[in-house]
Amino acid sequence: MPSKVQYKIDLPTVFDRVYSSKGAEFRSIARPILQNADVKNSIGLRVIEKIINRTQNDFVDKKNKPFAEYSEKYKKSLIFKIYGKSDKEVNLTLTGEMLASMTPVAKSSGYQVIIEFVDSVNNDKAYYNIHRDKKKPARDFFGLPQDEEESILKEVVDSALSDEALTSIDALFNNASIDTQVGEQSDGGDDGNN
Amino acid sequence: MATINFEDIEKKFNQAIKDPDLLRSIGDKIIDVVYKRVKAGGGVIDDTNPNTSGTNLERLSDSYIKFRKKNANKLGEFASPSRSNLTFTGQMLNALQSRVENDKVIVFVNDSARSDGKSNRDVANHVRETRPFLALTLGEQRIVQQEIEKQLKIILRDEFK
Repeated sequence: MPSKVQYKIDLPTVFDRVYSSKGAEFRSIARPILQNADVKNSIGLRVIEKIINRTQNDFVDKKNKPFAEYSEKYKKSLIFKIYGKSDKEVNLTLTGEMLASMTPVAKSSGYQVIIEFVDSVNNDKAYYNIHRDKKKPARDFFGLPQDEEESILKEVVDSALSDEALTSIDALFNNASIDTQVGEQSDGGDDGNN
Repeated sequence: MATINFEDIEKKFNQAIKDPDLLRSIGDKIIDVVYKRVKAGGGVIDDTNPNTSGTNLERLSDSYIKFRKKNANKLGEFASPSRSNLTFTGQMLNALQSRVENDKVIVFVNDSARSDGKSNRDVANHVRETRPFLALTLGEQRIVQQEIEKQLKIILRDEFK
């Protein structure tokens, strides 16, 4: 049984790297922000976005190395064809559910941002990508290089220090919804699939 | 230093989530998700439950498989005689459509005529009795949500260039 897959970022460690040249006064004001739930959530969402973009568009792992190629058996499979996959683009995306199921842990306490998967099915998919065995190569997508952690933290903390701009924008996204209806058929519908 | 007016952002955001082009593209995305899942043999447990899970489509009966073997020349894309993926000729799944109505995206099977004289909607209604498929699982909803966020960010970035 695969264990729980988590990506933990120790915010004070990253903070100290980013703001090493700042004085003690700045650090005493800024550091408590790292415990703010909205700030941690913002960092978590940005981390997830970066991981997804890199995986799906650059086809490289967390160390910026190209993912190992798909097996011949997989490339010839029906499912590979149905989902229109390209053997040149190893993007860990079949349905897209695994990457879409990454989430920041809502109530992580203290100074950590924790990213994990919302359910065990996708956790296990991630596990088997990250921890391949001797027969299959690993495709460790789950993480960011230090410099990217730093730039995300700096962006969020600088904004949080200036005003509540960032948390306002994230609140808009969190509260947004688009009404969708799948499957109920009603009469009319002059528009069709315009 | 640039000044950001957040009332402006909120106004443009609320406009963006009602953008007809955005809503149409979300409809296309939903169709793509459902179509591929079904072609791969996946259905849902309960198409009336907004929190439904996915499941394999019920296997075909032996007699129907025999019928399909005899009519193998009519089989549509990704179909085979014994594969349960709601595809005989492929007309029903190809009739998946979406429309935008009152800021809502509706995905449905078009009531178009088929070569066998039935309508695609009738076939879909019949099929869903034993093999429900026209709904999004929670995992698929997350995929669509991700697509919405991606599109919204593009729209907002363009608005504030």
